[in-house]
Amino acid sequence: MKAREMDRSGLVLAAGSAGLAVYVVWEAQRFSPLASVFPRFIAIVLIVAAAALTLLIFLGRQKPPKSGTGSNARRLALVVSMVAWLALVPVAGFLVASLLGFAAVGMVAKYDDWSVRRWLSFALATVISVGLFCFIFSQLLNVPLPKGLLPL
Amino acid sequence: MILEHLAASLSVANLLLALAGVTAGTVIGALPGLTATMAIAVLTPLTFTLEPSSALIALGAIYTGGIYGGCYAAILINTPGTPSSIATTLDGFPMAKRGDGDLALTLAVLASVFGGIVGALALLFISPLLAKVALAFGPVEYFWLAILGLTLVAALSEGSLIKGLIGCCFGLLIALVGTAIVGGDTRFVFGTTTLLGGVDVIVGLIGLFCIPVLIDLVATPEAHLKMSSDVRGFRLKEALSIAWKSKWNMLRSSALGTIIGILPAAGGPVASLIAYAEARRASKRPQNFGKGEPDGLIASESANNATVGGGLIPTLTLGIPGTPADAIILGALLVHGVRIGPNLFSNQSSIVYTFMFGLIIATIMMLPVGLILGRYFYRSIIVIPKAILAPGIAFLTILGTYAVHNNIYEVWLMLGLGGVGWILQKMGVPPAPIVLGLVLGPIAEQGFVQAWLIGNATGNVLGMFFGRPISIAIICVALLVLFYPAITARFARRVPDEGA
Repeated sequence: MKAREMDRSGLVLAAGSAGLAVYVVWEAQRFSPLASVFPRFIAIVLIVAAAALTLLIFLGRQKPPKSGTGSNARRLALVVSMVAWLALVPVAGFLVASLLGFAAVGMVAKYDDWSVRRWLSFALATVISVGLFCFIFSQLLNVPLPKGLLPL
Repeated sequence: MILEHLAASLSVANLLLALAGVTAGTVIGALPGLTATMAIAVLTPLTFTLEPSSALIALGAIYTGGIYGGCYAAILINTPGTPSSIATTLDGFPMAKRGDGDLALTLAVLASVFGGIVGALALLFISPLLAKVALAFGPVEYFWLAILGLTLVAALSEGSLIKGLIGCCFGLLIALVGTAIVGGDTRFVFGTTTLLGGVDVIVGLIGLFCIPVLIDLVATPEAHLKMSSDVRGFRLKEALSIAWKSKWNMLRSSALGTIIGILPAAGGPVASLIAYAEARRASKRPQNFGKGEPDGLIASESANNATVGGGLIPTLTLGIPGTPADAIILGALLVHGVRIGPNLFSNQSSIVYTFMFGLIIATIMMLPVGLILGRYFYRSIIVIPKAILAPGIAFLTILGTYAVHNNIYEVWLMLGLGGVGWILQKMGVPPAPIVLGLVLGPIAEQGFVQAWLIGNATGNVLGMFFGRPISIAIICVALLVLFYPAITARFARRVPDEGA
């Protein structure tokens, strides 16, 4: 008979939750009595839930979550692209950073080979999408988008 | 007399304003980060030159369209366009994933129109009576209402209740970040001023719902949503049939939405979550909720649109706005020289009644507008290649989050929450319980602390929490929501035993 797989990620979750709860209780010491009631209460519930989860896992009553499929390299590339996109905003301004970020995320999500025409369509879609929404937000909705350091 | 006001609301100018307002509100509400409140705030100055009743009709139409528009992003990209459509994601997105996105959008518009009309009729006919409900709700009732909402964690936990509870605690802790509502302490700000204002619900919503979808979207070449092989139009007949079967659910959810809408600060998110919990409790298929059950979608959408009329009841009768959007409408009323209060309905009846009829007409107009826009949005999401869709969603999450407070640090926060949300999902913690805690945490804490203080001052803490009639009623409903599935399951097991 095949042994039931242990929910290892659940154990990590329980340990992390207990650690967070201890931190909350520690922090709550410096709050006034009124402001510390709720954090302490939530921390206690979190500790109890973490203990219950650990117990359920060791009793074999907790199924591990389904493992995801797909490319982790692309997932990582997306996160890196978005972080770079945001880091670029104060320097290049929202419009330029968004054009570059949009293109970068598009490359991460691209799976098939593109013809020249498809590349041109992508470039056009990037410029129109970013330009149109930046215009709507900055001009019609009065959202002051960061201009960055570039003399634009 | 009433017919005169109805005729006034049906003028060509008012009809056009209602149509334009609903369309603009729907489009703005569909964009993650842009709420109905923002739509009204931005477009209010355009109404200053209009007749007071026409201006109010336009604002009411934008409001109702904005609340409805939130369902598009909720159904098609699993990101609530507005906080009011959090519960819509729970069954709307699974429906879209399995190829029923068009049906989900049509059901959403039918439920929204129904809920909107129920709310508007309540506003028209029983405003003064319902306004008393707003005054009967004290801190302790808000506390129990939030607890009732938190019992929904049982419904939102996919697979593991314990993990759902842990997620809910995370949400409650995130809601504690910033300056305490009562007492003014700064909590969990890590020495920065950036977190003093706390974590905005919209920032949390976008990060926790949208970023994990985006991370998984780019990981595989498969299409974002399953495509139906045949073009089936609006699927209106099918949707009408489902809506008819769900008529009691729709009516109950709309009534809940109207009543919760009346309560200041509760609003659409609380109404839709509680209506969803109640729909699940009353359903013959509770196990299908969260997996693409139309009843869940109908409950959420009818309740959130019913809050539009409900929220306007204390705004017009007492001058107490139920939601931030109502506060802006209240401001617009004052600009137009309308004096709020009990005498409003007699002294300036022509403006008020024309506005109320206009709101009903705008809600009805939402049906064709919603069907057409919904079909367009659905087809766009289906047809757009992933290389455009993924950066498009990423761009709108960044832009939408930035637009909340024009603050780039909140975009970093959204991205960080999204990363943590993705990791938690992989550990089996769904995003919905986290958001539930984030939305209801401040209401629960404020209600609890204020009730505790009043109870201490009067020397009757227990009586304060457990001795008030409305509190007792809410506690009973919360217990029913929690234990009803277990009770019915026990009876279901017992019936065959007795027969044997």
